[in-house]
Amino acid sequence: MEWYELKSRPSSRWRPAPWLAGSLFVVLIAGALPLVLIAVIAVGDIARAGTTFVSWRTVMLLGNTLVLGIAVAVLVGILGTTFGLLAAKTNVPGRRALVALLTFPLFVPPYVLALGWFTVFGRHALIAAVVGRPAGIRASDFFFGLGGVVLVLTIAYTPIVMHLVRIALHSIDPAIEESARLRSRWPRIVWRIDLPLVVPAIALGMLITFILVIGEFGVPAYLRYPVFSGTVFTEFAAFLDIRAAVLASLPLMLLALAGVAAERYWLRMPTQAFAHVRRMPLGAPLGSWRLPIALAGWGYAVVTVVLPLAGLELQAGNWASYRATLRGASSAIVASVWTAAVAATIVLATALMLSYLIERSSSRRLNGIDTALLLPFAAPGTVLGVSLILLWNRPGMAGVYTSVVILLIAYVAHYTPIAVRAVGVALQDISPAVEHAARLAGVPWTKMLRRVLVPMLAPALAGTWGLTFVMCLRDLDLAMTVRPPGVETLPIRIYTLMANSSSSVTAELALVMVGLTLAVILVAVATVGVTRRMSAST
Amino acid sequence: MTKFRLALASLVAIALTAACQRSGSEVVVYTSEDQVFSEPVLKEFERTTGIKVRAVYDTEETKSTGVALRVVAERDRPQADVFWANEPLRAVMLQQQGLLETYRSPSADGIPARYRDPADHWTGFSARARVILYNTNEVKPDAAPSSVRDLTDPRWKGRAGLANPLFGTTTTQVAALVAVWGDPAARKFLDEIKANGVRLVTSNGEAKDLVASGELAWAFTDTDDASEAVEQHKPVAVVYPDQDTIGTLVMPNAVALVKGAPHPEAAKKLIDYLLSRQVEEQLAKSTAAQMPLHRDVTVPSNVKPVAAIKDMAVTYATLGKTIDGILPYLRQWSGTS
Repeated sequence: MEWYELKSRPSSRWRPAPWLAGSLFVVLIAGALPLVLIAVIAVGDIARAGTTFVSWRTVMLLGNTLVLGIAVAVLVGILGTTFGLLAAKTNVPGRRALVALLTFPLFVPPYVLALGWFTVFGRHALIAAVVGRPAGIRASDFFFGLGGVVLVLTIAYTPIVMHLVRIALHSIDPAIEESARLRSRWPRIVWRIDLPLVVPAIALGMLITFILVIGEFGVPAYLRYPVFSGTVFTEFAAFLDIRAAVLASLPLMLLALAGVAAERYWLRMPTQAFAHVRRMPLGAPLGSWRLPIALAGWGYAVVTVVLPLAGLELQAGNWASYRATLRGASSAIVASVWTAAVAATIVLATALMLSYLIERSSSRRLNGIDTALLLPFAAPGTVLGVSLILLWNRPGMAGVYTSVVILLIAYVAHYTPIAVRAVGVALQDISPAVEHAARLAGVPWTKMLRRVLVPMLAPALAGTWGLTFVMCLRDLDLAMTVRPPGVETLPIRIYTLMANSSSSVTAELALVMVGLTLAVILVAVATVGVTRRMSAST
Repeated sequence: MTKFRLALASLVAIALTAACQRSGSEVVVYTSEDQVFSEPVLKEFERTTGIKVRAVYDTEETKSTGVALRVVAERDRPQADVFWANEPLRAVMLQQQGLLETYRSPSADGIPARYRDPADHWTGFSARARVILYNTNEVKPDAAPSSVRDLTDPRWKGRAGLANPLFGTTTTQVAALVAVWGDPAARKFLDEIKANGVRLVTSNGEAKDLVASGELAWAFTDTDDASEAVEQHKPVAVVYPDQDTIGTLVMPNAVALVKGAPHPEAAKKLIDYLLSRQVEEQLAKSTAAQMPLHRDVTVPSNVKPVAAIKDMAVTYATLGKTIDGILPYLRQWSGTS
């Protein structure tokens, strides 16, 4: 279906163009303008690239970055898919609790997770206390290096793939599986039917992870694994050289585009679209494997999530100490929650329109928007942030630049791309025939969107809102760079208090952040549930 | 659609309300002094003067690109009134870029001239020192390191730590060594400490944590980090290095008026306040244990007065040029690019 063709009929009430153009405008203002500025700066300074960055050291750093990105993306793909399948398709005991537990690492900045793991792998930490000092030294040698970085970042980003796969599995029409059951048994159905259908979700999760990992600096720096993102940081923080930092960010953005190309290559096999009939997927009983799989799943969750969280809890103080920490952080908590919630809502609305534009268009040019859209996400947060400063700190723009509006623009610019992809993956599974039918019945486009597409996409939209909310809430690089004076978010408070505060304050704030994110997600899930029940009863 | 429009209108209203929240009398300060110490000082200023302080806090932990960069990024339309750095080098670097205004505060009168910019682009106050922090379980007091030269001692191969010299106060320390020893000797020293497997960490806070946990035997850090570890009864002890030779590096906070500051009068009031004896006393009594530069400020017993230590003879105002010469080498040396 081609929306621009439909638009040409003035008598039709099928008018998506203004809405789609509006969402494109939002993305252009928020994300494309700073990218243009980055390009202008880079082109103007490209001659310096040769003298400053071309060296064997650069090649080594890019190699390290690539190794790290691929290792974490592959591990996250395997683990996330496994847990997504366990959550959506099996009768493993306590699977909802398991999913909730495995999501926790996504709620805190990876650097804080690394600090939690230090309480396990440090030279004199848990392993040394339980197994002995030589084991502690070996554990520390493993932790401070590629092994530790892969461990921390894999655990941090596994929830992304897990949730995307879980949502995609919930969107599969059970009729397909029922047909397959006539000839095959469950493991084969999962392998031959379900997995191929959720490949786009797995690929998207791995791509998001890859881009996040190659831009990560805090954890590799802490664990002494040299990566290229340090170059960008050095130009900014040590040399105060904006042009050189922008230039240094280009290889990272090219690596991210290479990741996009890899994803496209993987997905070149067409996936079939199926109309949704119902929501609840069929369950794949685990039979005699139920207990061992449950033990393995819960064992993984306990070791990777409970252990570092317990480490943080041990460092945290008593209830009075929590209260004092909360009092000091109250304005940061309020600012974090409302900016993340508003940004996630704007991002979701924009992403719904843009993914419709991309998925329902046969034009190659419009599909190219999809790739271009990923660039603001691929740009390191600090680089995007500085280009937003250069762009918005202008006469007459005080209402934007010196207020939280700049923070909202930054979040929308950086996180809309992944939301567009997440909604787009779900939209691929909905047959355009449904929309055709609505149009033939004379239903206006906006009404079709609200009454047909939004309900059908509800799990994906709710999941995307949650993912975007979490990404905004835990954002540090971007918020730290553009936040207006007098405004701080929770991650910023954690970082700025980390220096010279007692470790209990940092631990308490990190745990508050985990609890807060969980509370908002639960409230959002409950609200969606109530709304759906109310609309079903009317 | 009514609900949707209502939601949209609410969003716009929230954004506009937030955008319009501006009080008449305010001052914007960008500070790299740790928030745990700077926030109470700024709140007290707000309480006593009624001037609203809008702060951007930063940390020398190497996770953010820093408030100095933000001053550079905003050079065409400055938003900050006051730049409060936790060491003088970044103020000197901003001064070199022409981003600071001259201001001679009356509160600066009791502060020795060597801690001020000769042209009054910035003024130093409440200082810290670069000290050695060692783990008392790992190192006996009579065998403890006592010099920056100990970083090259094979005894400590792989067991000593230093924060990355591209960032924070370690940059100032390296710049000071270059100023005192000369460029070739400083580079030779850096190569030797690299060969000795000195562990580069991301910040002085991390250096302190790694020493306190026994991960490292000792490391260089700042007196505020060291003081915190001592207060928390960690198994650590502090050494003021090189007291018989080049002396210990003393690093004052530096405060400056940003060129083109939107609120210059309020900014000058804040600078006067920060340079006052009252603030120096407050910072001396805090966990920061900072050393006052006014001679007549009383200090608690855990704070060494500047006069009680042999401090390194460096001219802070010239450190900017010194570090310019060695930063590209440090980039290669630290392996960042």
